[in-house]
Amino acid sequence: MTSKGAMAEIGDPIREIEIEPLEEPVPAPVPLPEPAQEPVPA
Amino acid sequence: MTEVRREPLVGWRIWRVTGHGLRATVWDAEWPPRARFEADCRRGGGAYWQREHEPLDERHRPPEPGCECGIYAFKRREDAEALAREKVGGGVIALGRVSLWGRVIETELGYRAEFAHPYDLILLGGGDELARRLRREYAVDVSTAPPVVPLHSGGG
Repeated sequence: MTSKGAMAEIGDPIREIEIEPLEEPVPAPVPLPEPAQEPVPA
Repeated sequence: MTEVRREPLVGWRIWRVTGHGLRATVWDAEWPPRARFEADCRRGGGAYWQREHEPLDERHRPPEPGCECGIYAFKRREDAEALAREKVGGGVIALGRVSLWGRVIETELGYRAEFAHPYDLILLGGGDELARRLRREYAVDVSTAPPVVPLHSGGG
């Protein structure tokens, strides 16, 4: 598909919208694993 | 005057599924898990299109109304499914809804957006194991469905 083809598939522009969500719809990243605890000498 | 909204729009699009996750079907850009995918407008590769006559160094915030850049999505599922039939080439295709925000240009049949993240996915031809992996990586609902029949499958 060419760029012109892509444009043809969604048609001509109608209007411009600015969307500013209060919170972006992106899931939280996977938390890093906790570092291994070093054994504490007795 | 530009309309301002708080709720993201939701459109339909397709991705290729590789061992590294979701990739755009046209420009092969990687869609990183759990991070917003950002449109860019430069020549040489990326999630954009640009008019051929536009100067190379003329940067703008995508999607520009007079350009072809932006993250593309359809309004109707049927249109994304039709594109999947065109793009399938033996690999797994993900069909799904996508959240769109930032600067968005609404067109007759779809949208061009500045930012996006998958909303949910349907694996066309992928198995349960791949669905579980994508669900875990992208943190979205992932279901499975039979593979699509290519548009040009031969036999008339």
